[in-house]
Parts: sequence; C-alpha cells; structure tokens
Amino acid sequence: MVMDEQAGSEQDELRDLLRRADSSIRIPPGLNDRVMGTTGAGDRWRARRWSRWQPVAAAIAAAVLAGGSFAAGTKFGRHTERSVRPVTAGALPADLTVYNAERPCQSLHTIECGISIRDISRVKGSITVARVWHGDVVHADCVTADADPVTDEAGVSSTRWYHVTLPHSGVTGWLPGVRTRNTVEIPLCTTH
Amino acid sequence: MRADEQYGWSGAMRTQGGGSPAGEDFHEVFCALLPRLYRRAALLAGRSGAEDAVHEAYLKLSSRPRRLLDHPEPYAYAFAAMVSVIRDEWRRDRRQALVPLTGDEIGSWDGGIGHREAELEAVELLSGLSAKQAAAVLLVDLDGYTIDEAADILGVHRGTVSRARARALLALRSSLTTGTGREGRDGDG
Repeated sequence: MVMDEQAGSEQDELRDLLRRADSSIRIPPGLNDRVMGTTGAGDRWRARRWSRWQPVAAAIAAAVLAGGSFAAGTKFGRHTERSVRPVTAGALPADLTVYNAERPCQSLHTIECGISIRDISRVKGSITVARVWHGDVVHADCVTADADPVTDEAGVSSTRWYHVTLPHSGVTGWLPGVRTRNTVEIPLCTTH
Repeated sequence: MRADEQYGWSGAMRTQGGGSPAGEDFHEVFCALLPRLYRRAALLAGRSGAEDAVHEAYLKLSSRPRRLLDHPEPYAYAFAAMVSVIRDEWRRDRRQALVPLTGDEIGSWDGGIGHREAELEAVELLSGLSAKQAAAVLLVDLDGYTIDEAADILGVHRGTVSRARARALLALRSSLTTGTGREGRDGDG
C-alpha cells in the first residue's frame, strides 16, 4: 500500500515535471514558414544529408573519371600538356553562402558564432575586418589555393581562401574556404 | 537576430502538398499540430534538433497527405512519424544522441535557464531512454494516453511502454536524490 502510494506520487511528480517542461517551451517565431516552407530548414536537411554522402559520391566520381581518363589515354594514345585547361579557366566571380559547420551556431547571430573575414589570407598576423554568419551571402571575386590551412568543426580542411566583398557594408577581406560549401569555380587571385 | 529574420524566411513559402484540396487540408491539419509536435520534439531531441525533426516529419507525412487526414488521431500519427525521424537521426549519427545543452542554447532567446529548469530536467531524464521509450513516456504521462494506446501508436509492445515509464521514474528518483546523470541511448527496448 505504501509502495503504491510512493509509486503514485512519483508518477505525479513525473507528470508535473513534464507538464512544466512542456509549458516552458515557446514556439520560435516563424516556425510554420520554416517547417512547411520549401526553403530554409529543408535546404539545411537536404544539405546535411547530401554532405553525408558527398565524400563517397566524390570518391566514386573521381574513381570513374580517373578510370575513364586512364582508359582513354591508353586507348587513344598521348594527351599533351597543351590540351589540359586549368579548371578555373573561364571561372567567374560568384556569390557564396557562408557555412558554419557548428550546428548550434547556425541559427545564432552572436559574436561567438560569427565567422571572421580577415584582412589577409592567414590565420596568424591577420586582423578581423568583419564578421559574417551562417547563411550570409558574400561576393567572391577570386580565390587563393595555398593560404593557411583551416579546419572546421566538421573536420573539413582547406588551404583555399576566398577574397570576398560583403554586400551591405562593402568591406572586403578573406574568407576561409571551409566556411562555405562552394561548388562553383572561382578565378584564382593574381593581384591580392 | 533570429534565424527567420536572418534568412528572410517569413511569409511567402508554400507547402509541398499545397495546391490540391488534400494538400491544403493537410497543410491546415499539420499547422494545427505543429506547436504541440515542436514542443514534444524539443523534449525528445533538444531545441536545437526540434525544428529539423518536425520539418523532416512534415516532409515524410506530406508525401502521403491522405494518411494523416484519414487517420482517426492525426496527432498520434504525426507524433509516431516524428519519433521515427528522431530515432533514424540518432541511428545515423550517434553524436546527436546526446542532447546538446550548450550554454548558447540555454541562454539564447527565451529568458535563460531559470525559466527552463523543468525543461532541462525533463530532457535530461528522457535522454536516458531510447527514442521510443522516451516517446512512450510523453504519450502516457504528458498526453494522457493509456499504456495500450501508447503502445499501439508507437507500434511497440505494451511491456516496452511500461518499462520505459519505470526507467523514467527510476531516473527521476535518482535525479531527485543524487542529482542528474546522463546515460547513453541504446536500442529500443
């Protein structure tokens, strides 16, 4: 009997806790649009799903291409250096979307979650000239491929840095390549 | 700045199922369920994962809108779909099994930890259970379903629901006496 009473009281306590917890959760503004819209959260989900398979798909694509190239080279003979065009040939400046791999930071616009735009494409010795956040769009006019390596929170590492201009302030600076998930070729920097 | 302001997500977005009468009805029904589903998702997956969970559940349900509309209890159907999403997500990425209670999250937009003590405690408590067990506790002890109904909604044996509640009560008891301790999530019992 005493045990039953104790169990009953614990159940009441659990229910009370859950009710208080439930009532303390506020619905974030704009939830309906984000959840039922075709952009925003959906894109993030799709991006996350794709990002899981991206390395595998890239590896398969690379293997197929390499195999194809090798087979073509073997079958049809020589390929001269003159026939090789750099992948950046014809590349144009483009808008890039800032990507913060740290998930809790993706919806926060705090200083801690900001991504530095630096005056030079180096980690050491550079200063922060502006901050951008996940989802911001910046204009990249060129990229350098041999700058300081930067590794993001997801483990993606790159020595590429983009020379970018912020659309509203017009500030220019350098964005580490791992702070975007760019899929288009950007011209190589020659004068920066 | 909130994410919706940052990304300009307000207004103008249409539903996936929009256009057809079923799509419009679906939109309406899901809209009505959304606040409740979001709060449940926040308890199961933490606030950082709640929005993604309800969105994924929405996508899943919107592919067959009639199933939700024709179901005698749309909430139960949608809740089960969402639990399945959360469970799949945990399985895919074990790192997300532990609900991130970061300082940023705690102190973000709604008034700080003082107002969220119960929520944090509940999330902590539920994080010691598997997704289905935690869902069973919510269905019975928050939504007022019977053990048999909860088992039916989640497609598990009633014993699973009973054990889940027993574990939750045990965790509650130990948190009251010794403070909280987080357990890992294992498979569904």
